[in-house]
Amino acid sequence: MILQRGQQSPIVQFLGDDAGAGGPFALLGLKHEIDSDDQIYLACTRRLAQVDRNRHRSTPDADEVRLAIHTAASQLLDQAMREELQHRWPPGTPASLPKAWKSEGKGNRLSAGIVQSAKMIVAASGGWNSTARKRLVYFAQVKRIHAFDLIASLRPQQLKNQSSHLRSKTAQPETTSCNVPLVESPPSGSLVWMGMYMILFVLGASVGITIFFTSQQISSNSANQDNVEPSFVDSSNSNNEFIEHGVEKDRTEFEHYTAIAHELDQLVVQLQSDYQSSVDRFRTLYPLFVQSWTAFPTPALDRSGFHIVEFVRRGLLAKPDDTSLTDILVSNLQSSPNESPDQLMIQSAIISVLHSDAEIGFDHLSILAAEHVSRVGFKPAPSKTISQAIIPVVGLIGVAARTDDSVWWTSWIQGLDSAVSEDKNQRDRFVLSVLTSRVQDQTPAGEDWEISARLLVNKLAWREGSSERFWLFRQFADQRASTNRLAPITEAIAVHSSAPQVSAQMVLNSTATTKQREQVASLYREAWESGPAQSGNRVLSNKLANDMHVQVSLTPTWSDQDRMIKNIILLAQLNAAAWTTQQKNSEFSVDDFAIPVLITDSFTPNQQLMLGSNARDDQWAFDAINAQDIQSLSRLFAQLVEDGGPGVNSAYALVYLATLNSNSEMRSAAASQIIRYRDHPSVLIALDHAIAGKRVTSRLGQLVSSVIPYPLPDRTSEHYFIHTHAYLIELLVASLARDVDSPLPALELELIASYVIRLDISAKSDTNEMNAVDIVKAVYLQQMMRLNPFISEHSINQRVQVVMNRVAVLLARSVNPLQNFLAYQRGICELLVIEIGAKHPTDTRQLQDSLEELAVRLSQSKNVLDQIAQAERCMSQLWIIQLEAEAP
Amino acid sequence: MKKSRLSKCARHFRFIAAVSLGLSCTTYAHFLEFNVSKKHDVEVVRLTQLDPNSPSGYFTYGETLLAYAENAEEKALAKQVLAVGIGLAADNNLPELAASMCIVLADGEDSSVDAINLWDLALMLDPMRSSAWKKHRNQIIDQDLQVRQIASRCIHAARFYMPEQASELLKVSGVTEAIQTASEQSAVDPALVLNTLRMLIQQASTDICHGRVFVTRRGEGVVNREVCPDHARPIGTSISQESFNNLIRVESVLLAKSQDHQRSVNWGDVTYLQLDAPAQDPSVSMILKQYGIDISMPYWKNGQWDSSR
Repeated sequence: MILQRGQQSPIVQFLGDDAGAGGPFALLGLKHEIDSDDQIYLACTRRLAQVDRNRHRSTPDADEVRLAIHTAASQLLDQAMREELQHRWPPGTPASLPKAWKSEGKGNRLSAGIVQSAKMIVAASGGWNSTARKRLVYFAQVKRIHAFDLIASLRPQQLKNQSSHLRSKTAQPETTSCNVPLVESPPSGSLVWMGMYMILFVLGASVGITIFFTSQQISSNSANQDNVEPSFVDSSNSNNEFIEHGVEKDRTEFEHYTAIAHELDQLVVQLQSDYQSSVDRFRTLYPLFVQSWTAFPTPALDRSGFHIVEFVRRGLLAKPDDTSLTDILVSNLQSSPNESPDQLMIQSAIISVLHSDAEIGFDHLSILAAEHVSRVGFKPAPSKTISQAIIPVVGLIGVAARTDDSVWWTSWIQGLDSAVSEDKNQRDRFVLSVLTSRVQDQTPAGEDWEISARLLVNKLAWREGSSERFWLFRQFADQRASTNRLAPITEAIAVHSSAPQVSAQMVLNSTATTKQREQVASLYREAWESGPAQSGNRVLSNKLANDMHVQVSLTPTWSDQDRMIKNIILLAQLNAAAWTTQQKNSEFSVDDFAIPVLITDSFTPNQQLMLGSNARDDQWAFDAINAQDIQSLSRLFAQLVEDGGPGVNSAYALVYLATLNSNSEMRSAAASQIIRYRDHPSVLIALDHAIAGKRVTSRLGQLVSSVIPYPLPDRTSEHYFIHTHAYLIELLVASLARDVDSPLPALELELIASYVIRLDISAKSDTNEMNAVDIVKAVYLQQMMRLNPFISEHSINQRVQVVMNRVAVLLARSVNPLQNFLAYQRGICELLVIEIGAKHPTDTRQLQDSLEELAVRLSQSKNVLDQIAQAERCMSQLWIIQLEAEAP
Repeated sequence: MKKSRLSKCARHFRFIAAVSLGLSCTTYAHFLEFNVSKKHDVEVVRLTQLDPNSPSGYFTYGETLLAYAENAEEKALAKQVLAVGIGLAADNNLPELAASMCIVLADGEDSSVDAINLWDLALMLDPMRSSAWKKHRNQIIDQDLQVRQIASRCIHAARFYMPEQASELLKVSGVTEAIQTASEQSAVDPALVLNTLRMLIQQASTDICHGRVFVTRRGEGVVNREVCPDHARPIGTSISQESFNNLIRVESVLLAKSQDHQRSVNWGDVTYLQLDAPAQDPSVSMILKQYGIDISMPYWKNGQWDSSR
């Protein structure tokens, strides 16, 4: 193109004949009289626009013209230069070439240094672009050389020649081009060329020999290795063509996870066309994946896991009777080294995902499940993705581990980091669970545990308010935690971790006594509980949340009755405080609940019921039943006061007198004694005997009604006996229970006090006659009312319905008031989860975790008191989540 | 002549009728035997065809088998099929199907405690069963209540020197089981309670006073009443303080009233009654344990459950 247009300069081509003569003034279309620089800028813009409108605007010639325009503008902007140019190209002078186009003149000569600098400018500008061009123009101006020569010197030789030729044609240059060659051509025919050809020949020959010998060696290795690592040529994909020899060493491309991921992608497709070779390839790839899965980012892991599962699934569906795929999974599981739990994790996760596939045959799954149980120790739980499946596996493997081996724990931590890299809370929970499990191991700890403890401790931040701090408090309080194992943990925290506010004195001795352990615990508590000063409501909720954290940590799954009752009361009070704080009720503060006061009645057992034959009792009964007048009876009644109540036979005598004696005065006197001792077991037994007769007289009916405080059926009714008997048994139980020392009535009072606070003011007025179950029921109903704003959502409405049904079942199954109380407690917990979840959807996972933990703890509890404590603890956990979510 | 011919015809006719009847009976017996054998074969084939990947098959077959079960063995097998189905449905996240199987199983369950557990689990699995749960559970409890009241009367009769009545009541169907269940609930050894009852009945059997507290003594023109000297213990008590407490605890559980009434019970009584056992939620694992089912063995093979086909 350039040669065809060679007769004209690019300036003339783009800007017309006038622009080609008259120097920069003509180039820009300006007269010599220039009033301001703006005229120059305007002219420059106009000329550039003219170039842009040309159909050759994208050619290098256009660029050169643009460069010339810029150069001209910059020359004219310089006042001194403009004056000189005015002299050189006076108005009306015949056309001559602008100076910038001349190959030589008064400017400096192009030197190798200048060209090198120009190259650097182009390089620094990111290549040949407008910035580079502008910079070169300025550079040329500074060096006082011709910009076009400078640019021409940078171009390849051919273009340079063409350009020179063009210029020689256009401008009739006086001399040859002064271009500086980038590489000097060697003189042709010289010995240097021969030498270079010789060197190239020698190099080529050596490469050829190397390739020949290497291929020979590979063939012999392949033959030797036979079928153990078979030669495999992936015929379906030319990109994957290679010969497999020595899985780890020869396949250097597998050093990066993407290579494995890519091949796994391909395998699923290949399975359709070539089953056997795909399975063989899978046999090689699967162990590699298992060994290096920790290098996979989560999305890649899920994708590769999906491909493995899909491959196995398709394979099993294609050939249901072929067990080779199952064998690969099983054999790999069996051969995983003991010190590499991370490998077990991924294999377990893959088996778990396979179990979620309903199409895979039960036979295959049962084989995998059996092997899984024998190797990992638990059944695979069906999951949809690898990242979902691996999370519980990591936790279970860690908690089930009975080793202190630091290599094992390093591998576990590696697996943990890869599996739960995105959820720090989950990671912390697992590490704490593992630490709990190891600390409760009663076998003596060695040096290995010290190293492992450091590894695990350093996975946690130990920041203010973090769960690990409360975990440590709990371990100090928990007698199941071995001092021998707790000591290295304290050392790791105090000496080897970045935990704040700790010192070297806070290290527990491995042979410390309980008292010394408590002292170290108090050191930690003092150090960690003194946080920075805060104000107002924040202080209140922070202190409360901290107290709740501590109490939640300190509440065991089961314990002795007294300790559990204390825990229940403390938790109930903290929950009441949380409720009032959440209601912004200034009437109560945390301190009101800080000191639990257990109301303990001084226990004074009743006189024991004399069940055996008693001569004094028999004599009293004889005297009373044969008494002839009221005076003698009165004397006998006085004796009853001395004896602390009637014996069994005396009570029979009283009932006889009250119902069958002919003297009305004596009957009423005996009846009054029966009413007086109506809580006495003997009287209740005697009445129970009386109502079992064939006929219940009106006198007897009245007597019984005066003793039993409940409405009874008609005495002639067929149901009279069984109902009356049931009430008498209930009164008898209450009477006998008074002889048993029980802290439960006091606990009931404490719970009433704590739960009444949680009721709205309108509901509080009717609580005087209510027992603990009535009040917890009121709180439960109130909690349900609080969900009214969210009930319009179908999912929440459904969940509330589920809770109501669950509570109904629990109530129906309960056999005593404590279980009734527990049923409502659990209902409150579930309703709280719904309410907090609706307000703070981001905390849903934590809320569900709390409920799941409650279910586990309830199943491990040894009695209903333990269960009440767990439900109250769960409530505290939920309040903590709410308080922390609503904290400013 | 005519008469003799007639009698001869009649004899022939009787003979033919007898032979025909015999043949018919034999044929029918063979037919029945064939049907039973065929039915057995069909059952075995259908059992072996059950697929764990399709728990609904266990439901359909278990329900049919339970409906047509002719003996305890078949009934037990039908229950096992349904129990396996419950486990598989729960594992495959099919709560509605599991609930349906629980209900079918509850209907075929003789034990009221087990039936109640199954209904409770059904509601836990499928909240839509609320009204049915309420209705059927109350029915079971009402039926159960009668047995429990009889059991309570039995203990009462034994304590109050009424041996004949106590013995009769103890023989009533379900009474012994009710006493055992109530004993377990109140953390008392059921065998201990039943032994005490038997001892009380035996002790009272020799009582000449027939449970009367007082007897009349006549002498020198004066008639006096006195406590019967023949009684080894006061009427209404037991052979020891401990056994008395145990009997009262069991009676209290047997006569337990409604939920509203339970709420009014003093918490201190719980300690005396030893009713502090943890509350247990109905669960699939509980049902599987009850029917002796291992969910990893869902195939019927060679007359037993197996892990592979």
